[in-house]
Amino acid sequence: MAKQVKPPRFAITLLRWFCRSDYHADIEGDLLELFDLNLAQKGPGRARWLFIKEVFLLFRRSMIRSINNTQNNTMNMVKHTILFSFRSFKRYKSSFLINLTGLSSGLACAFLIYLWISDELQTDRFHENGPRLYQVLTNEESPSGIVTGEATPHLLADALAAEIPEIEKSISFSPTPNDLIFTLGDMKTKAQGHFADADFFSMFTFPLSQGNPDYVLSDKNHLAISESLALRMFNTTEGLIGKTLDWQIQNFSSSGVINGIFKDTRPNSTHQFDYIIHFEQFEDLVKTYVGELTWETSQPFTYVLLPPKTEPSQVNTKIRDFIQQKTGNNRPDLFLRKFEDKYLYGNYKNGAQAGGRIEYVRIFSIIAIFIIIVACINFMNLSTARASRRLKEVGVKKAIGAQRQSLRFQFMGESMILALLSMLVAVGLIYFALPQFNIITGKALSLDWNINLILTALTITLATGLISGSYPAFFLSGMKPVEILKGKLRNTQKASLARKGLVTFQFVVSVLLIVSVTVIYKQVDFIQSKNLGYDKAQLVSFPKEGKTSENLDLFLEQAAQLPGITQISAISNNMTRSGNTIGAIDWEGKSPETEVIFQFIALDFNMLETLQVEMLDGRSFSKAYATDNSKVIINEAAMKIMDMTNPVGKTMGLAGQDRQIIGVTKDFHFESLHKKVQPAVMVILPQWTNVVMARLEGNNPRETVERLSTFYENFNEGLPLELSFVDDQYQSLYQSELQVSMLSRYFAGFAILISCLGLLGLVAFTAERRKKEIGIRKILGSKAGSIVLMLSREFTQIVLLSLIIALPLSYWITDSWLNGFEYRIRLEWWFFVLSGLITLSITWVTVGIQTVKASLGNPVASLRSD
Amino acid sequence: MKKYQLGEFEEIVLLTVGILHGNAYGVSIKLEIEERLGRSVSVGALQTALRRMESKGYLTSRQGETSATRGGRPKLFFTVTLEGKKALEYTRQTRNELWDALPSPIINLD
Repeated sequence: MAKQVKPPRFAITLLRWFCRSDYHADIEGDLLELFDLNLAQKGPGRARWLFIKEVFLLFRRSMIRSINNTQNNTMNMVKHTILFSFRSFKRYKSSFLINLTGLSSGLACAFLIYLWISDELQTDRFHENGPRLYQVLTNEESPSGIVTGEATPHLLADALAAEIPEIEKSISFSPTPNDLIFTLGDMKTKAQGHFADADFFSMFTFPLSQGNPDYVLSDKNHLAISESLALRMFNTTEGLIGKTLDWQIQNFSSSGVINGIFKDTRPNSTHQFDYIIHFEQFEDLVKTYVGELTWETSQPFTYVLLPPKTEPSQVNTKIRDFIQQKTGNNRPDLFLRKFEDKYLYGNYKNGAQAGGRIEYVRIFSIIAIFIIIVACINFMNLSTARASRRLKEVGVKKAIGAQRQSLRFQFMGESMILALLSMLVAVGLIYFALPQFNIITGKALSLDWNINLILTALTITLATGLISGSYPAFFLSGMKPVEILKGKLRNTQKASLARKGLVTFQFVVSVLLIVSVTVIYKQVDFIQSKNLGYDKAQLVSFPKEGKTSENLDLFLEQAAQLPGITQISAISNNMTRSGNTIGAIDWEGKSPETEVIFQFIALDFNMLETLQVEMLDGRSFSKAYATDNSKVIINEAAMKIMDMTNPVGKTMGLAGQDRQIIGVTKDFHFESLHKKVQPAVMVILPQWTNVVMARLEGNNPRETVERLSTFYENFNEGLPLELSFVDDQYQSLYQSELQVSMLSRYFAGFAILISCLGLLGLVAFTAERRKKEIGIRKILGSKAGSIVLMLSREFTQIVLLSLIIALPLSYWITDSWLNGFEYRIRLEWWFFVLSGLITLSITWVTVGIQTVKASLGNPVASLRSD
Repeated sequence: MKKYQLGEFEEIVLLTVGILHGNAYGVSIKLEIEERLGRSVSVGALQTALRRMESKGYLTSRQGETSATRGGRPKLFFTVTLEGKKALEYTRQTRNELWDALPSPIINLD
């Protein structure tokens, strides 16, 4: 006989799956019989087709098995669990509310932190060539260790591309965004942006709405502007290609042709700019100061693109001594850093990578996890504490034949349901808190529900449910039914020990957070109020540009006459930004190997007086001495490095020029307090200054500012004044510390709140369980006070224990955080005592309210029943 | 008099079960209808009608022997109950009454 033709397997399986089990057998029989008939009459193909058709036509309501009528028990169990969960929530309202509040605020905190972290991690990660983009950094020996820098020689980019085959593309990029004035007819528009070589747009992904990334900057005269700048200048983004724009930076003016319009830079890009101009223009600008560009003139960033599958280490070995080969001098070593790491791994210590913002990412990840754990512990504690109430339920269920498995499922289910409910509440909280959170962090975070976010939310929720359900699930389900029903509670001792352990852990975390918050707060406060060596109050600064730049002397002279201005002068850079450096410095007794980099500060007369920098020795620059233009003032750090005891009157060589030292200033900070004060030389060089600084009189600085800006606008033919207080600049320098300080305060507050909620629940529970004992004690003559003491003792012990664990730990943690600062506070003993006292008093208040309530109750009420 | 409701297809199925008298199971009913009325019947529709009328009490079923030809599945034989007979009669009677009420000129129009 030929191979037997069979009806399609899948159709039969399908039928068995959906068809009501009591109908299924004979229907399948009918179908098979029909199939055989059809097979004989119409052939196999048609028979199979008819079979499938009949199966699909059977898919009707009366034939389908009902969901309720399934054979397996899972659905019943789920229904049962949900029902029981809600009943138990309803029955124990207070612990349900405590759990819900704790878990939902914990989840909300964790979720906010997640949003922040994922935004941090996304920064600069949007470039298509991302994994292949690198920045060339320099490592330079100095007496205080290896200094890592970003400034590279002007000639480097071209030379690298030409000589190192492993480098596909290489560009120079102007380091700090330049304020620039575009002139279009009568209209002047200020914008911030960068100068970059031709390959900029083909290396980095800054999408162009008009223009071709490969040719945008193909010519020296080409430039590209952002859509928003285009709108500001032309009120349109269309048809601008080929238009000519004049532009000016300080004294340097040039013009360019718009050859591309790019979309506004994303908020999560390190480089924010409104224009990109061909880098050769920047070189022309620099040449006006330094003459020819050599390997010694250092300034731009160098970005390179490696071909796919090229290891940076290969390139590193080749470029290490690249500059030395070029110059023959002892110049810095080069190495590559991934561009994507620029934002998060920005700090280098002695030539090695030493964290950066990634540390804050790590700190907050840990805080998030801690907060979740603390919230979970509440749930675990309250449910094990309540176990005695539910033991009978468990006992009866087990006696009837419930398996351990299904009891576990029930408790897990209960905690999952609670976690899901909390997540819903948490999402509401997040919507509520997000605007404020964005203000603090300076980000534009939002909840946009993409698949990633939903998955994360679900993962966090499920993990929370799992952690918080685990202990009750395993603990309660493992009890022996006979013992439970007999009333023997063998495990309670162990359980209460575990509970105490968990509460101890909660308080360890809380104490850690309190100490950390105190220390962070004090450190930030210290930075803010530290004597910087100059007086930053009432000090304003604004860029020197336009006519001010052309006629600086005239401007300063006239501005000084304005009422309210006590001093005014010009300087090379803002006090919060590191400026130019100079390596070619000589002095008597300098050993030939020492290579020291000095900060080079160009000043106009009167600047040190404006800053109110104190002189350690000698005198300040003064117009009274005709030759002060060729003199130099050094700072204390420079004096120490040059190892001179009496420097005034001696001479030192600056880039080949001998200059006499006329004064030494006390150290003053011109960079972040993360860094030590660098040695600096100050010379009178008005043409090198970029910033005008003025000291205002104490009363009514606002009026003075208004006068100054009217004057400025008149002087500069309509150019608006962009003035800022040095105080504020200084604040923004410590923005990340300020943010961390703020955020950690909030999160610590939440962690403490959650811990206290847990404690509250536990105390309430203890008080209730010992209600009869309290009643008897009172009848026998115990005072309310002694009952309060008795109940508080247990919890005081727990808090004391956690203090013993947490204080040394917190000392270690905060000390290592502070070590990241060059100028740091000392850890005082009272930080720890204070934190301990705060924790203790919070505990006592929490416990006190509950215990007082318990001890004041009428004993008759508690003893009358049973 | 009690109301019996039978759909057109239900009526056909019920009558066919009566015709097959003792040999009425899924396949035989389906083939019988297809042969007599020349219309195709899907198993789904047939089974739905059978089960529906069984639950109304017009039909009873009994499981037959298992045989190898049907993949070892038993046949389910249906028989018309007394209630089923009444329903058929009721339907027929109401139909007749309607016919009788029809004025003769209309029928003879063609």
